Amino acid sequence: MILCQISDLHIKADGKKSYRIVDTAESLRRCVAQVNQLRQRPDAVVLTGDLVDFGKPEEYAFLRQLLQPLAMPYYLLPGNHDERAALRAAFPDHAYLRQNEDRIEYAIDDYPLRIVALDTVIPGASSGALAPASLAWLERVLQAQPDKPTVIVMHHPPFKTGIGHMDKIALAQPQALAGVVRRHPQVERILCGHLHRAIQVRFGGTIASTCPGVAHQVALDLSPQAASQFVMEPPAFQLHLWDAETGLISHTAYVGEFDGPYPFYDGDDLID
Amino acid sequence: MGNAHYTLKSPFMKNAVSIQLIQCGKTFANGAQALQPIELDIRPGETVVLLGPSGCGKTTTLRLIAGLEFPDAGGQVLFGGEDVTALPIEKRGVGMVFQNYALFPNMTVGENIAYGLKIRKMPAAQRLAKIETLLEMVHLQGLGQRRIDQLSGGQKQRVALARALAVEPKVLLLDEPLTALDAKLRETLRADLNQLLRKLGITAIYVTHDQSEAMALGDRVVVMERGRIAQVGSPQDIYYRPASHFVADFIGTMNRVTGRVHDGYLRFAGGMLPFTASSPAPAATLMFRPEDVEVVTDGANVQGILLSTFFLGDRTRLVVDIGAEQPVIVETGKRAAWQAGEAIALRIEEHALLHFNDGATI
Repeated sequence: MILCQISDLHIKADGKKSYRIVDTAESLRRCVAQVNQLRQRPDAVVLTGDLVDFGKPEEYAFLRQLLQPLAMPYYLLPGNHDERAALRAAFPDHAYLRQNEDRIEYAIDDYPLRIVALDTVIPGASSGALAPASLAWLERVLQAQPDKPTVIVMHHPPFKTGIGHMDKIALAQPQALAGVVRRHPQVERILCGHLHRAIQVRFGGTIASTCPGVAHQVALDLSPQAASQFVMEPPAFQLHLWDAETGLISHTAYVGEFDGPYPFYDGDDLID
Repeated sequence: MGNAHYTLKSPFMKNAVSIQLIQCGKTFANGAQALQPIELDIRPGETVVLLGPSGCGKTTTLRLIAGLEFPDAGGQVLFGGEDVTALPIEKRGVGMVFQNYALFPNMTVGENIAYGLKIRKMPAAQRLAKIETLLEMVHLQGLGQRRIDQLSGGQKQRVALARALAVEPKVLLLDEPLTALDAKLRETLRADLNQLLRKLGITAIYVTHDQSEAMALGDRVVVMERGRIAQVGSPQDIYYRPASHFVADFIGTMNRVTGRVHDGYLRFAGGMLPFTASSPAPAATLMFRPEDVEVVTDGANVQGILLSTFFLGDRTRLVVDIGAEQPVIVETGKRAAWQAGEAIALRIEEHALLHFNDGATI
């Protein structure tokens, strides 16, 4: 099974650009076309938050249009730029968004790899948190199927990144989550967004990671004083390939047109 | 390719295979259906175009034929009567051409074309002869030594086609091969491709969202809508005898006039048109093509007011208010000084009128 992760879309309505620079809609369009054209089509796509830029209904309506061409099922979860009610209203057919009445938390059991989504959003804040009820729910959900390989998906990563301004809007009290995850070794990964960069950290006995942004990236500045800035490094998405023997294999793929593929060999001979 | 003395013998004609899709559906793990179980019979040597809007299932169908995707249990794919359902793409003997050329830029045109032959250990002399034949076939004679980055988009796609044909596949699959080209190149390559496919006699499946491409290239066109086949037919069938409201609306420009049915006529403010079908409701809709409306001085059956005109060179497109919900579009070759607001008399022949009961009165 292949799970595709697309993150931090920041879609705006009325042709507006994010921060007056980033054409986030065009970036998502290209990504969707590229995912559809993958030789091995993913079985599902998970979108790890910051789906739109200001949580407005018209932004979600446009998001829906942009995602419509995706050839496979997709799953949405909110980030700090999202607004739960508007998100749910725009996707009435996405029943999983209402598995939990309050927060957008859900478990998807249709695939060989189980998807468990957590909602880290604090309305009005850029930083994130997990409610005690969420942690209790997670504990129950993981206990229910201890043998099923699982990925947890959430917007805010539960780790420090070294990029000062992002660490100021991080997830509060990640240790509580680590405690739960440590008790459930079936958790293959914690897949997050928020950082607009690919980062991996050992966490609670598993691997936690963030996905690059599908439009713009956070500037690489590993300083506690790092300023809040973005760069137009290449947009990317990730493919998480579940292999029963190896476990979860994570690849990063760039959105865009690149030269190649170039063959290494011409017939039996390495090209000289 | 404009060459009347084309003498290349096709190695494909005698080997052309039929393709059958039997109850081929595709359901995702979450229960969503990308493709309802479909039946499709493709004749040996036929060019079939899969046409429809995004999300209609045309690419999924192509991928099922290619062996990049496998149907739900119970579905079968047959090549020449042989069950290939379980075979992956490498074992099906298919050649593919994609929208993005997927050529090897570090190899010459000739090396690109010969790539598959070298892997199959074809001796060098034979290979070179084959390259020449293929270059001639796609009208790139003498360009074998060129680098890929020295080619235009159209030439690249010709190389991609030659490379796909080099290994003599049983079936040629083309996935929006002209979409990345500009309009002029697209038209030239489309005409060449049309001739080539006819000449080769290879079974070819062509996916596009562009109806003019479908009309120009398909022996038959499969119009798809939301994971189903809406209609299979010749381009003429699809255009003149659409099987449903969706097909009628999707292909070409279609006028629709809604009115009240009474005494065998559909009546609206600007006139009345013969209505012979039985209508379950008092209101009904008739559809007709812009070219089936004539601007007349005598014998009009519809009166209207000219709203606007678009001069298209060989003809003029008129937008006419006939007192129905929507204005109608008329195409005329008449040279006249059209004035918005003037009265226009129209004649629409009965044989041009189409009526569908499947939600036509929306």
